[in-house]
Amino acid sequence: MEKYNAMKNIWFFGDSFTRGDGCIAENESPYYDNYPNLRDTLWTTKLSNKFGMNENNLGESGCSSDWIINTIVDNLYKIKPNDIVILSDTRPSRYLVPRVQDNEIHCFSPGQESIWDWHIKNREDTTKPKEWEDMKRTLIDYTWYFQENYSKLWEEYYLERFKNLQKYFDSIGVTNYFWSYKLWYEKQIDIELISEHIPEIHNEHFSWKGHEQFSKYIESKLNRVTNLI
Amino acid sequence: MNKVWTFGDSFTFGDGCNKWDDYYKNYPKKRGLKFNKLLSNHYDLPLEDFSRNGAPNPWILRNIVSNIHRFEKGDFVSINISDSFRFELPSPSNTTDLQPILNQAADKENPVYGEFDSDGDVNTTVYQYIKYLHMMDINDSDKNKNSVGYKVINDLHMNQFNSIKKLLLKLGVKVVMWDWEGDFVRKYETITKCTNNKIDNYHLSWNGHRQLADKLIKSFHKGITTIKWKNTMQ
Repeated sequence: MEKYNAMKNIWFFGDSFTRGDGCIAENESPYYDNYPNLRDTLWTTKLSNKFGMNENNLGESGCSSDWIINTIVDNLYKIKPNDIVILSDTRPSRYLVPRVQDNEIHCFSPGQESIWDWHIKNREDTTKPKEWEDMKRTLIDYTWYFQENYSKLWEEYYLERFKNLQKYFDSIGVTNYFWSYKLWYEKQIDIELISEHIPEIHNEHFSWKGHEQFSKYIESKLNRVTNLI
Repeated sequence: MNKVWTFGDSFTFGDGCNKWDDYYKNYPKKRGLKFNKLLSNHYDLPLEDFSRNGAPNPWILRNIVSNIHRFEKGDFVSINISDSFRFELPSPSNTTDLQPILNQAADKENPVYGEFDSDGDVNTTVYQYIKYLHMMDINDSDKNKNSVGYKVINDLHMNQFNSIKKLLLKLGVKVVMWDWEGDFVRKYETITKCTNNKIDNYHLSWNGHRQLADKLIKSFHKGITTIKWKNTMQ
């Protein structure tokens, strides 16, 4: 633990499980809003406090692994020796596309077609209904042909990129740990979810207890990593 | 030991100047060295080249990031930024790497999807993807760079390149980023010009490589980290 005391920043890169969806105020979560007495801190905050470091949580809800990697690259120059970096991937079928609603890059996740409907319908130019349908059809076809069909390729592609980033962190003396989205997607570890805590809330993210459990899990992994150094 | 690193597309790969090219085979007396080898010789440092014909920016960025842990203070890095239209897709014939998709795929009358030619439905999906999502309402290939999608993607790529540049400068690496937009092709001798139009190839001639190497050496020396050519659209 003494090793960590000299460190200043702890960085978290990942998706909604890193961001803390369900347990943060700006997410309009009934779990957070309706059960104020249950509130605690996120796993990222618990770890930051444990190590006495500044928390930099750059998790993004519904994002793709591309998005996560881009965010890491955008912040590489800020990450210093003796910082800690915790990074995770997400479902490989998610991908980046320009978004018609606000002309920005958007992460698309299979199953979000209805959200895309909303984006399309809210376009300023309302004269092209057929093209809206074509756009949605394209999104579904593209997802099937080039994302779902090649999920193994995409997964390996992203893992390779995360590994290369870890090599860089190792080279500058940044303690780092990568955890896979499969921990929650395939339920590889026993972490309590919001829907398990409060069954009437349909949210499959970590509950407050889950955050405590996950912070302990990552802490044990970090201790193992630093023992190896 | 320090190195010269070059990352980029066909302009770094030296399209036209390789042993299998007509320009190389038919004009032996004009032969010289590609710009990256000239840089390597000038600084008397080994060259590490990561370039390929048709490389999209995501491929170039990926290769830079893959090597970040190997850069050392005092290295020289040339980053040749490609056309932001280009992107990558999985290929049915190659399950270990992604296939670059170039501007030709946006031509509705004569689309070129490379490996995807064998499957009509997949071809259509690639074309529709470009039209509706990648470029956002593009009508024809000439308008790629005016499309909203192009600008959104170009901004994304440039943010990534600039973030990497900041990191390299912090590491004490000398870096120059450049592209082949605007007056680039008019400024440096092309194979077409060198061969008096006998070979139609707008990539650099041997003399063009020499000219570009000189420009990059001057930029490294002056600390210029981004070369912008005149009349660049983006």
